[in-house]
Formats: sequence, C-alpha cells, structure tokens
Amino acid sequence: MMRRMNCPYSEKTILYFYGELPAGGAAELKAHLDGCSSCAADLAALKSLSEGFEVFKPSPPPLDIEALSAGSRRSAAERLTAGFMRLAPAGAMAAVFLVAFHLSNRGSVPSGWQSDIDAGLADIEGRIYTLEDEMAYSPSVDFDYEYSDLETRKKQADGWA
Amino acid sequence: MADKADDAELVKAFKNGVTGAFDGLVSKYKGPLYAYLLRISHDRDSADELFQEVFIKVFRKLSSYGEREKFSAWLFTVAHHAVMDHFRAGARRREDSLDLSVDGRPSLGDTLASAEPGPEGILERAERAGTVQAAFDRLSPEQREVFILRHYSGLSFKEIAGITGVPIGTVLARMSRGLAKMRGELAERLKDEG
Repeated sequence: MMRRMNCPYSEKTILYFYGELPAGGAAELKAHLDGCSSCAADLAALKSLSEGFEVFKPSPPPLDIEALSAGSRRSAAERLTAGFMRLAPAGAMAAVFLVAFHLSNRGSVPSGWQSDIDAGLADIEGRIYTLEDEMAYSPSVDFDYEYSDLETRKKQADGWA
Repeated sequence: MADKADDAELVKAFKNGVTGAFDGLVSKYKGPLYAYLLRISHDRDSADELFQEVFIKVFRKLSSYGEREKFSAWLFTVAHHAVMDHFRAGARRREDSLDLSVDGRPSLGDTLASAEPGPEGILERAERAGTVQAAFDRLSPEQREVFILRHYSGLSFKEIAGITGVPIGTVLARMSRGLAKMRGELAERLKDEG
C-alpha cells in the first residue's frame, strides 16, 4: 500500500467525506483509496473526528430573549450617548470660538452696511446715477426731443392734430 | 439544522414585529453555535460570553440582514468575527488556551497501550482512547476552525470560505494540513510509546 504524508488526493478525500465531490470524482477517489494509505488514514481520521463532534453536545447557557432585547436597546442608547459624547467637545469648542470671536471684535469691526465693501458699492451706485444724468442730458437726447417736436409740428400742419 | 426557507420565514416574521420568531432561530442554532464557540475558544467562560455577544449582535442587526445569504452563514460569520475579536483582545488568553488540550482528557502516552504499524491500527486505538480529539485540539485555531465550522454549521466549503474570508483552496489546505499533522503526531507518539 502506498504511504505518503501529502497525497495530491488529500483535498479530494475531504470533499468526498463531506459529500461535496462530484459523482465522477467520487468513483475515481474510491479506486484511489484502495491503494493509498495516507488518504485512507485521512478518511478514518475524519470519521473519527466527526463521531467525536457528534457526541460533543455541550449545554449552552440560558439566553433570556427579553434581556437580550433590553441589552440591544441599551446598546443602541449607549451608542447614541457615546456618539453625543464624542461630538459634544467639538460642539463646545465651536461655541467657545464663536463667542470669543464676537467679543474680541465687538465695536471694532464695522457691520456689513458700514464696511469697505458697502462703501465701494455706494460709489458704484453714485457713478451709475451720474451716468444716467449725463445720458438724460446728452446731445442725442436733445436730438430725439427735437425730432419728436418736428413730427408733432408736421402733424399739426397736416391737420391731424 | 433549519433549512433556508424556514429561516427566511422566521427572519421575515421577526422583521414584521413577531419577537417570538427570534426564539425559533435561537432554539435552532444555539446548540451548534455554542459547540463551535466552546471548541474554538477552549474556555467555557469565554464561550458563554461569546454566545451572549453573538446573539445580541444578531438581534440588533437582524432587521438590516439582507436575506440574500443563508441565515446560518450570516450567523456563523457574526460568530467568526466575534471569535477573532476575542482572540485579538486577549492575546495572552489565546496563547494559554491554544497550547492546552481540553481539561481532563487523557494524554496519548497514558492511553496508547502498544505500538502497531499502519494508520488504521493507529486510528482504531487512538479513537478508542479519545486521542484523535486530543490531537485535534492541538491544531492551530485556523485549522481547527474549518473542521468545526464544517461540522457544526453544516455549511459547504464554499460558504466557509466566505465566512473566514479566504479562498476555498485555503480552507481545504488547512484541513488537509491539519489531518497530516494529526496523523504525524499520533504516529510519533506511538513510536515513543513503543
């Protein structure tokens, strides 16, 4: 009988024992087992182990479903609390920073409407008014006015008005 | 072991607010799960603690369980991760538990009466004395776990590969090496005794 410690059929023997070897492979393995003491020993060991597992039936500790449910709820509450506790220092730091920022700049920093930005906007607005005035009194406006006046006078001459 | 359809019905009932459905899942799986935890941890207190921990996690996460995978595969995945965390958290305890066989088990030297050539002879006497189990308990946790999972979960090697996060070839190689190691140890002991 062939005796090898690491037969290439070793894994197939395991699959065969647990019924996971395809039918064709099973026939081939059976033939192999007749001549390989290593795989035959593996098979015997697997059988022996499984019998040992079969008789090993320890009694599990009692499991109180109500307590489990309570434990689960407590765990959820603990996670929520833990999350809050992790975020609380960051929130406190942010609040302290904002208060400190406000106090340190109180009276010295102009509000939005008093700022340089607002001053710049007012300047632009003033220039727009000026331009509108200039356009209102530009020669082109005079031309338009005179043209309109001529049209009126023509209509009057034609007897329309 | 419950089939997939039964488990899916219980999970669905639980999601619909039938708390008793969880009892059904517990009663079906508590035995195999506890045996797995005790065989892998080698410590009753740790197994008890892990047992509670796994079912609390399952209870908490069951509403988000997708039902695409088999419930038993999901349950043993939760258990596998709990065991890994347990070992990682207690490196010292791990060292102690992995090097010792289960308390009260007779040693190979005490139980093997005489040397006899051939694996059948070795295994026959070793089995009689419970030494195969003792040799098994001395395997690495990774090697032991695949045997234990395959037996107690009833899952296929492909599913066990999914649980342990390694390729199926690795699962089978661990088992094959475990068997070789056990046979080698038994033969060595017999030689010493002879």
